[in-house]
Amino acid sequence: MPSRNTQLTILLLDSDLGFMLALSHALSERHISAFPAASVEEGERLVSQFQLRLDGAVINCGWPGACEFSEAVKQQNPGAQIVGMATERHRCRQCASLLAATFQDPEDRDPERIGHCADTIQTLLKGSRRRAHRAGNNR
Amino acid sequence: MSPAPSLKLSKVAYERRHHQRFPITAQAQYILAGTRGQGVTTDISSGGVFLKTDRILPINRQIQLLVDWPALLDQRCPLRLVITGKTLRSDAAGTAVGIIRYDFRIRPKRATPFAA
Repeated sequence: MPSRNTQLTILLLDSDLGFMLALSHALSERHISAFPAASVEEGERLVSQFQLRLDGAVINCGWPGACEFSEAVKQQNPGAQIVGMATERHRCRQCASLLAATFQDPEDRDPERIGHCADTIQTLLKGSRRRAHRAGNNR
Repeated sequence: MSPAPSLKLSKVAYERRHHQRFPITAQAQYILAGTRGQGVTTDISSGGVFLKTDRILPINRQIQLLVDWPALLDQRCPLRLVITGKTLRSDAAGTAVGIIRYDFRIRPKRATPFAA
């Protein structure tokens, strides 16, 4: 599916409204568009409706269908960077190999950690896009 | 001797973390009793929003808040956060709104960004 956005685009699959909005603002300042979804179905609907080509996703692996969603994102864009929210009790084995980074839940949900989260996502996404560019130029 | 940490307190702290308030300044449009107005959010959590408006809003009323989501697609903002809530407290500093539900809606193409 063609990308309609030249800007880096990420999907936030989470249910914490404050966290999603604060992170989206921080990412927007870094020229990254973050689309929110409160369920996997909503995420899929957004991707389809806006024809998004995701450069990444922040997912909560504890959610039903989240790991499969991550696999689908990676299939659509192998360079996509997946960040998982991990709690002390829940660390996902199913999509561990897909994760480029992990945020600690609830520690990284703190307002003071938003900048750190946004910086991590920015580094991952820009690195991936640079690698894709280089690979394209070498062909 | 200091008292042993109580389980009840830890639970309160845990729940508080789950409704962490984030200092977010965003233009918002509100609809209250059929009247539209403009405001600015000062903080938002999953449970509530604090909204600064140019007038004191009545309490215990249902209110709808519209906030443009800060994401761009083709150089325009395509998504809007729509919060349905209830005014809990209101004074000259602003209005505390408890969130009943929220959803994300496609922003009408003709809609202009909220005035600053």
